[in-house]
Amino acid sequence: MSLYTTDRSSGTPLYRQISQTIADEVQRHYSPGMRLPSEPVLAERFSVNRHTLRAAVDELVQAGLVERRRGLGVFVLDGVVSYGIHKHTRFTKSIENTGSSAESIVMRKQIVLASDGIGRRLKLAAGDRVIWIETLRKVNEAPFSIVSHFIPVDLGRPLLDHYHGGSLHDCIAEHLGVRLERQLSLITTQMPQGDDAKLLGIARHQPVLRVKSVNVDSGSQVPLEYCLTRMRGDRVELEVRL
Amino acid sequence: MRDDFLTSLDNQAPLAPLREGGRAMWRQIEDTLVAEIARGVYPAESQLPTEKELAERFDVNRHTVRRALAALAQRGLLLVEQGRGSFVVRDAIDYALGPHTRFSENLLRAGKEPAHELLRASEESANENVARNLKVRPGTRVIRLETLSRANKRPITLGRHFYPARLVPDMIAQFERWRSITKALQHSGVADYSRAWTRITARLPEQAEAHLLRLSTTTPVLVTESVNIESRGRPVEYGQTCFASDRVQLLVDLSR
Repeated sequence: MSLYTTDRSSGTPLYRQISQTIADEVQRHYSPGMRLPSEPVLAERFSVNRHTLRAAVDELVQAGLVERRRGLGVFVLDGVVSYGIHKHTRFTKSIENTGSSAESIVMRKQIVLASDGIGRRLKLAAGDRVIWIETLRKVNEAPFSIVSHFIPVDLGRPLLDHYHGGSLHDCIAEHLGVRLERQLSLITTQMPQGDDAKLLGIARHQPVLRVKSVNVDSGSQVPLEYCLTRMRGDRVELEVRL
Repeated sequence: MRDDFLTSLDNQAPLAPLREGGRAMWRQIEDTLVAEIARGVYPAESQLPTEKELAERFDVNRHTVRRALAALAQRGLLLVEQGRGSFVVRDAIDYALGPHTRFSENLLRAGKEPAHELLRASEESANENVARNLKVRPGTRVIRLETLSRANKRPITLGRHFYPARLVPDMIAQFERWRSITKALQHSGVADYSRAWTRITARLPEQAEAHLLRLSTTTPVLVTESVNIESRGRPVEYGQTCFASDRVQLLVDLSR
């Protein structure tokens, strides 16, 4: 039997036989970022019309195996990192638990005025200042996310001297004497802004996941950190189990 | 005020969208303003620059600007107050993901009227992905519902839902009758269900999705995959949902 044949007399719809064949081949012979043969070429190979072929590719898109890039073709997606959102979400730990390496690089540390939104989330007064720490996070040495952390200046000042990368929450526990836990996250998506595309190593037309989070003192439940995380939309899958 | 459309197109201001690929100028202005509203350049409840200012900035006549603003008002992003100007509507819904995630309740909490439209209903055999998530064998009969859901008439989600046919054989008729997944499940014998997990990714919409959600194809969508289980822990629903990201943000509240 040829690898490529489809069986019109079996009970399985043709488009599904085709999508399974392509899925097998992708898993065996393709790596992330590679392009599949064009849809007309595939339609010819499987001797089906374009509609049937389209339905087969739709199945693969829905399964998250490939994506269509308009005008360019169908591309194999990168392996996705699943990232849990829960009370004790910790970047360094959760990535290392999956057997990957995690790294946080400090790109900026400075004191700024709290904007309205940040002030409201951290329950600050108008004119209060915050420490702004910008980090680039990498997983297995590839860019994963960019995080803007904001911490009230009264509390966070020691971080200017003591935080040089790695787990920020460990550094906060050590130097500020507080344990943080996640209180809420708001998840949206948009096209990359500013330098984000360059830093994340994605094209300007590839969306990023944006997560705004409030972290509180695990004892007093007072909000102590607001962070805005931008993640590669193609490398990350946020997972929520409550 | 310059009112010569052709001349204005020749003299592009640096901030004006380039005239590209046959896309009407007012559409490009609409896209630019949508992106700026989404980015917070014009925050909720703030006033947009006047028609005259926008016409100058984009180097077009006021009629073109008015058309873009009308489209934004039509999408529910702007409130045009006669004589006062255009205001950005605070309109992103916080859609709470929790053990008890219900579309209608989420919308009513945000003060919006929910409505579901059934785009397609069928019974089919489960592919590997669906089967794995519903914990059935590939090929098992499943019911598939495709829905477009609105908040105050604005489309906000596009959902593809799968149910084991053996568990809820009557699901299509019940959904057509009740127009609510929760009620349809109840009347199919699933008294209660809860969310086991949700996974969230982001991508650009396919053309058909963008059309149904009334999004531009350059506005990304949030895509959730989720499984709901009944009281004994069996999966009753596997769903894939696209959220119009300019209208909804997903909220994970961990404080309870």
